[in-house]
Amino acid sequence: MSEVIVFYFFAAVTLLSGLRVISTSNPIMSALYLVGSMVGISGLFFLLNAPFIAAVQLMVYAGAVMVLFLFVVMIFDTKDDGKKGNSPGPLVGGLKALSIGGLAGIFLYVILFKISNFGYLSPDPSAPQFEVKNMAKLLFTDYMFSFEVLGLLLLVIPIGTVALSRIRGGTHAK
Amino acid sequence: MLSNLMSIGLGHYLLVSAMLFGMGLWGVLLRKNILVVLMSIELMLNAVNLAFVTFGYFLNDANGAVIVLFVIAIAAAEAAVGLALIITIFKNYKEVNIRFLEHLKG
Repeated sequence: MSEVIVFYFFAAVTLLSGLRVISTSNPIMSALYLVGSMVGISGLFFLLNAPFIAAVQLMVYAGAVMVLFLFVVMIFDTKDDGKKGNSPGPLVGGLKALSIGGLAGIFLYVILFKISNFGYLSPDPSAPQFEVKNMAKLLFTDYMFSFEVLGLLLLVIPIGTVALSRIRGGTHAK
Repeated sequence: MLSNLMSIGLGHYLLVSAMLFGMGLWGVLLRKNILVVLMSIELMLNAVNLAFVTFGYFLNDANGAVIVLFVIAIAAAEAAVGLALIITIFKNYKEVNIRFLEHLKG
């Protein structure tokens, strides 16, 4: 019973914050609401018996990535260009909104009517599938190659980022 | 499957995930501020992560969680590169509107 209440609480936090991310015109508020959304998702991970993923989510997303976002947002002082940039043409905007609505309709149809095929699923809360030991075993056997490629990516990304930011004098640009 | 509001099942988590993904798509397609577009991409990645962990939990399978770790690492890298691009655009045009991405070349 308490699990149900906690689920609805975290789902509400996630969805309302997510809605505010895209509806507020101030990017700083967007970034702060994004933190709320991340924390809500992290709570849902806890409910799904995956505390390690939840902790990683909190540290990497709500910690590192959001600090990066807020840092860039506050460099810019771009308070109100969300307002004037928020109106595409009626045809293009309508087409985009229609495509989003169509996708949402497909999602809803699949979840409400097709997912009942998964009705036999019975999760075992005591199953150890999300324990760090099991995940680490998978990471260093089945996903070994992907893991190495990820390491390469994390080497390339800082170089690319620094190279991009240093174009025309970096932060000392006139 | 959603008929019972008092017992949380697969459908509830997937519905939250789908709604979050829809919001992210809305932000990516309809906002003009590149910062907000990047944040919407993060929202979409989070929605997919939630779906992965949900299926991992309901199928008693650890693969979903491992893929989520990859997604989180790549999302952080993507945010860093995207923000570097935004800084470059801002330095040239003093505004972070998405239409300035037309001037990219090379």
